[in-house]
Amino acid sequence: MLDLDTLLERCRRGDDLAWEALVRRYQGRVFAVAFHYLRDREEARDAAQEIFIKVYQNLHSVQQGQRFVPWLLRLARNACVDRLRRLKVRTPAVAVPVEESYDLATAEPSPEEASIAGTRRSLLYRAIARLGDNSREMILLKEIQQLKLEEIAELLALPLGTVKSRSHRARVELAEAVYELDPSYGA
Amino acid sequence: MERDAVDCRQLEDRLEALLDGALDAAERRRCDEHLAACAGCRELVAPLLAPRAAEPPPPGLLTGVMARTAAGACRQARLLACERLDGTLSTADGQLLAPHLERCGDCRAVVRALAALPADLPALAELEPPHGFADAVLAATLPLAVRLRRWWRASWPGWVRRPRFASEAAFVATLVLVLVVATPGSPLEAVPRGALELARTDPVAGVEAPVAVLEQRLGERVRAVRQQRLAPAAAAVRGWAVGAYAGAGRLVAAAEQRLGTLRDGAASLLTQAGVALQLIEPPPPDSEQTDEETP
Repeated sequence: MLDLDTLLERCRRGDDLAWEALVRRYQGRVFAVAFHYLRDREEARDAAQEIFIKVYQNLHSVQQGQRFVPWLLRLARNACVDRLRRLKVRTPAVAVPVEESYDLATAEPSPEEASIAGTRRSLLYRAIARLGDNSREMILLKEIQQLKLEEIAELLALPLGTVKSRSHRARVELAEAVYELDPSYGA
Repeated sequence: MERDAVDCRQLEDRLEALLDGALDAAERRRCDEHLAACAGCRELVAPLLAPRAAEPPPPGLLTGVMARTAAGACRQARLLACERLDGTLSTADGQLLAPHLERCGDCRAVVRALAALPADLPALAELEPPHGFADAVLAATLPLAVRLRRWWRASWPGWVRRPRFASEAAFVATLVLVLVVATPGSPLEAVPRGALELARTDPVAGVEAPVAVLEQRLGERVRAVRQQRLAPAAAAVRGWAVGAYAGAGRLVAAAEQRLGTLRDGAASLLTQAGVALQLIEPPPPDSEQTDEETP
């Protein structure tokens, strides 16, 4: 598999096959971000398409190597926020039906592992759905998408200390929500 | 010199050390002297100095007190637990956190969940997108020419293999020809009219005029090429001929001059030879008769 720098360079030169590989590599991540913000399958799919079109139109400004993912997530996040504003709808605080129609885009687990993982995934989604907007966004960016605190601070235009404290609060809120839903979690 | 006994205020300052037995002998004696003399202090301290029963605090006391005074202790402990998981917890905060976790079961459970979350949450980073998502993105982003090229590569073999492809192609070609030739404003609009006029007139006459024009143009072209290519050679030959002519003139003049010199020399020699003959041989005797008979 081509490394990211090579892939981006070829995309910038107009290599359509490289662009296709880039889309296939990051479609799951972008769709997950869109789904976390929009909480609707169709809306998330449309938003993810818009995000990739924006990526295609701004390939010349894509940062090199490791900076690409934060750039992509920032673009995705802003696109989702804009879409939410257009829709005039905030995410409903309901459990996400993740167990009904979505699978993780990872290697296939065994049936038992899939069952356990599905249960834990469902639990986590229900717990995340209980959080407020700020906490849910922090969990998405920091714990799920694994962005650094500095990158989140830049993305959200917040002081680093604020991001750090929000991140801690969000983790605690999520842990409390998980504990309330399943006291045996983590035991 | 031994200091005086302590007063009430000084006793209060030393009270904690007194109760803990941490005072030295001299200080303890001074405090005892004050207690012996001061009824108020003796009344305050006496219950504390009695042998303390080793009774544990009543259950729930701490919880009740904390609930009524500092309800955010659990919240603070859980935030500190985050720092401990991140490895950024200070020693002092660690010393406060540990005893809290020992006594607070809820916080222990929440901290267990906190510790387990980092292993589970990254798995949510990707979701399987709907079927055909990548193809839809590519269709929306690739240039039109690329999309058409891909579509053509994928579809033309099927088209060609269709049974009626030949008749359809002929129909389309005819349609295109009619549209191109018969459409008003088309560059080829005059072609049918010209073809008809040509057919109605004498074909030979129609061809002669263009041929004459072609011949004229061809002749002009040949002359131009000839002049262009032969002019330098003609100029060179002309120069050479002029030079040769001038050289020949100079040679003729030199030869005539030389010939004149030779003619003069020869005449001079003849004269000298005649003089010499006259001197060597006297004239014959009958020469006088001859001269006489001549008239």
